[in-house]
Amino acid sequence: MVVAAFGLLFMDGLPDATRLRADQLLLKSMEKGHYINSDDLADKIISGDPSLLIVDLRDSVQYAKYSLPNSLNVPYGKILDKDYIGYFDQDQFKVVLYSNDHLIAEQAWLILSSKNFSDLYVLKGGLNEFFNTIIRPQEPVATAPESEFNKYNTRKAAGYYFGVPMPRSVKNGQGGNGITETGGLLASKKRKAITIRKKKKKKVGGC
Amino acid sequence: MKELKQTNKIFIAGIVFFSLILLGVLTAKKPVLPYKITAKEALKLVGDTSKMVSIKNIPSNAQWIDVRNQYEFAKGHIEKATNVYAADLFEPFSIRYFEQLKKEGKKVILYGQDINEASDPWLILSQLGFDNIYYLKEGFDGYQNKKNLAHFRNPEQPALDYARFFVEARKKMMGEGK
Repeated sequence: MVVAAFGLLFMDGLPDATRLRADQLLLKSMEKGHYINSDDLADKIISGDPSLLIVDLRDSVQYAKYSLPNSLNVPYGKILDKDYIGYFDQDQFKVVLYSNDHLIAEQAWLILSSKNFSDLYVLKGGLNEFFNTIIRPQEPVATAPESEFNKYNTRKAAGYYFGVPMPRSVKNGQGGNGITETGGLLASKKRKAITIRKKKKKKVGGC
Repeated sequence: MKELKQTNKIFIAGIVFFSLILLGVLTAKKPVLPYKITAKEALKLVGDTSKMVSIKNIPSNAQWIDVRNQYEFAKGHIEKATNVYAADLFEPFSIRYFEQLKKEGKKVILYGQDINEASDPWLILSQLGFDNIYYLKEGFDGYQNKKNLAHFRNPEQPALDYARFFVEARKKMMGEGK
């Protein structure tokens, strides 16, 4: 009986018994439910969605030069370090991972998901796509449907929030409502204080 | 005699009981394939470009594997590639195939429509002990547009200097205001 119980322990396979099975992980990645696109993310940032935790996976140099408002910097090599793992091993916030492109965020997502952390998302296309969508939206051709124009205008408006300078005509029209000389309505870059409660560890194994 | 029979019964019951437990343990769902490395070790693979292959330098004696579905594959694929749809990666035939390729010492290059389609299967397979697997940077898109490869910059390179963009944009705005 003792031998059998001991055997069960090893049945889950070394090295980490708590990891998601590889085939289930693959299925999860193929469902593509973990992507968030630039429009949706911009919308959530602007509306101040309190359930969101945005994580910049790039190195600190790139993060300092430019990063999304209210984002946290966790260079991807450190996501499993004990100082940072708590941001992912929790069920209070939805975490959006981003990097310059898509690859690093996606791979980091895969590793974190294999540890059974949930509610993790990847910004599709990363900052590059964000720039091409929100910061420098493509003006639709004249023959495009109205929905395209609406999307374009929404994106332009969102762009002002993220630091795109407002054209003078818009500024003057609104007549001194606190827009700074540097233009744009750049959201506060100060990281909000976050207290993460550690997720209650589910008991693994047992009869 | 009666005592002996009693002991026999208990003995037999014990054997049956123990066998049932053993049977249960042996037939319990084992992981399809166990991870051969820890998550921390797998993390080192993230951003590892040594397993990324560019269409510009294709290693010889490599087996191309198309991870898209059969319809995409039928529409067009890399010459001599075999098709293993990513969703079928853990089917017995697929695992046997990968094990066979590993035994033959072949380099396996996964490709999808773009780099991301192949990167997930690559990362998962790499954690299962298949260290002979690579993935194609430019994807099938790149294979079809061999002349326009400059379009496929290194992944994770910023498309532009973001900070500088804002500075320039503001300068331009100030300039226009004059």
